[in-house]
Amino acid sequence: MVLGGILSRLFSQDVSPNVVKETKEVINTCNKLIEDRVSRNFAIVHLLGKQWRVTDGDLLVVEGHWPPNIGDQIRLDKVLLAATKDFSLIGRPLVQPGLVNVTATVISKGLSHTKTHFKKKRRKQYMKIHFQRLPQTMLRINNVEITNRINEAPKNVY
Amino acid sequence: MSNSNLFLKSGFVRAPLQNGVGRYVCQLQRIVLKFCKSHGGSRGMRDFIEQDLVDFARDNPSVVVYLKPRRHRSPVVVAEYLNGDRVWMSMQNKTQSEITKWIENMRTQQGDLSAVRLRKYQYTDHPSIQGPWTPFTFKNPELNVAKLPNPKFGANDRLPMSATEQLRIMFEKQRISKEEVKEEKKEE
Amino acid sequence: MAFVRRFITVIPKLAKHVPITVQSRNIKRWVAPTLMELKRREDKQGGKVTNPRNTFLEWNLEAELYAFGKRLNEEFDSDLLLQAFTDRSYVIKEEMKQKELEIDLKMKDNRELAEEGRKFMQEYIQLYLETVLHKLPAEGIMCIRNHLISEKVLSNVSFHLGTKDIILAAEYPVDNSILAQTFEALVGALLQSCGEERAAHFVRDFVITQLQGQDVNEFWEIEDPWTMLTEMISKTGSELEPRLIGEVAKNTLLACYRVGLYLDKKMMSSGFGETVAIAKEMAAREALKKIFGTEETMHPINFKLNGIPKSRSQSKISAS
Repeated sequence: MVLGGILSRLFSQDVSPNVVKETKEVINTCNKLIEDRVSRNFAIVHLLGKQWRVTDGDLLVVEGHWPPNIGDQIRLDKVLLAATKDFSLIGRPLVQPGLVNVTATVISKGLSHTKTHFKKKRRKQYMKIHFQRLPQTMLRINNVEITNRINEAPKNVY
Repeated sequence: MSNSNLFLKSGFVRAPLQNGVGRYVCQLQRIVLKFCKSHGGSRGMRDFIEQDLVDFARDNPSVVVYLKPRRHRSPVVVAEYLNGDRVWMSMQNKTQSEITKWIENMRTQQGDLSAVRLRKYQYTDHPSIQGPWTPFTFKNPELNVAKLPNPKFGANDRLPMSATEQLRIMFEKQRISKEEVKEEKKEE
Repeated sequence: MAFVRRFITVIPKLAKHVPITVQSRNIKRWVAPTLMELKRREDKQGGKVTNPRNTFLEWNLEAELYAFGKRLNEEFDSDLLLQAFTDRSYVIKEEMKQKELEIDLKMKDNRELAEEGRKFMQEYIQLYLETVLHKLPAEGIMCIRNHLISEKVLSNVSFHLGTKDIILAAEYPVDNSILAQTFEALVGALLQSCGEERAAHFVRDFVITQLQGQDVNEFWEIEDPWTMLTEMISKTGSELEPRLIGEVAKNTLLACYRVGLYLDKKMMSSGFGETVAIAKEMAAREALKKIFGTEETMHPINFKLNGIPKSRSQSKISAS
């Protein structure tokens, strides 16, 4: 597990040199694995108030009004966790902004099937059915990649 | 939720032909607008055709638009999609803005979405990347060559020491034993 | 008389006939018999009769072809596109009709375009797979390529691009082989209209992406993974050792054995099975997958490579 603010700990007095050396070795191994592109990555992304576990080639359906149109390429920014087969990067609460790149394409926008919301209060002559069709957007996740090295300044951050 | 409405088929999230992985293809193939030239119910439809249709056709060159003026028939829109779905919708007594919204909705759908109840809102081909849990995942490999019963593996150390156990040990330590009482008596 | 006088107000009401009906909001009594009758008539016909789309009143072939090109974001030459959609059976039918009417309008069919397209697809897919799965040996790549060019896959792609309505063929509904041939002809037409690069991107976006979600190892069936593995390892000179690393429920129906393969004392892969032999075979298969870089957790196949990649032999020559 690689923590985000490890540099601040390196400067404190109560960390033994063994722990520092081990941490540096772990970070170097992880960086090498990132560069070699050995494994498939997944990320936990925060979108429209919900958290989704996302990897390359996934399909996602989000409910509710959402502006992006069909065919648009979108980058999902709020990444809470990114992981590969060998290590995970846990954000507190978000991972560093330029580190993980999650891109998606909007595939379809339509209305769901008719959902019936039934309300009744017994013995009070109150009964109604609300028929609703919610707008749904389908996304295809194109890419989840760790673009930067860990523990280094990010390259493109807006 | 129960499958209470058995006439509404349930299915999972699917996209035809891996749409989006390569290039994105708009799924609407053609749209047929049937209307009456004089009847009142087709008024919104006629307004749509006069004002918004040409822009729609220009913005979406991949959709073939057919117009069918038919006397004494109610206005109808039929959309055909690449996966074979046909969506029939009546536009009788709908205003022009409503018709625009419905046609926009038909353009962005990938088929008849109202016909299927989605069971899950996600689809993935790789549910496990770090390896699914097996009974062997966290098992100690030393168990393979160990001769059971083994005091190390049989020890009751799964849970940490409870507060009651700690109190009991503290009590036992400070307790005056029988030998100490005898020694005190002897000294006396 | 007193009886009549007393009930004089009620008698007209009693005389009025009130039909005894129970109305309720459910499936009406006549629905089921109507549906049964419709089904009976349908079966008499021999199944549902679907008319081809081009027999409808609202059909404009020119507009459909234009929209088809725009949908795929490609600019086809209009004559080539029409030729790509014309099947041999249709040309024969048209010639028979024209003989009676004594007109001579030559219609070209899509066989040459299909051959060109198929040849180009084979070469391009081979090169692409070699670049993307560079550790996989030639036999594996050939198996994946054969799967991608098979009639099943191509006809599925063709169907979902909307060709089944536009194809000019003698019979309706159109056969899978005709759909596949039409797709190959489309690739050929694109090759002639726009050039190699655009045709390559077209094949990449519609055919190679069919690998998305598929396990690449499924297409290549290895009969004896253990001998293949030992041959490969013996060339490098390392030591390969299989060991039993776990066993559960021995001598029962649900026995599970785990065998690990160790290369130079380091663990390479593990496999599980109902007997030790099966577990050893599975471990060998996992090891082969690791060597070829096609395990389940491999880096996903890149579907965005541009241009036509160079062949392996060329890149090898350049490396040395």
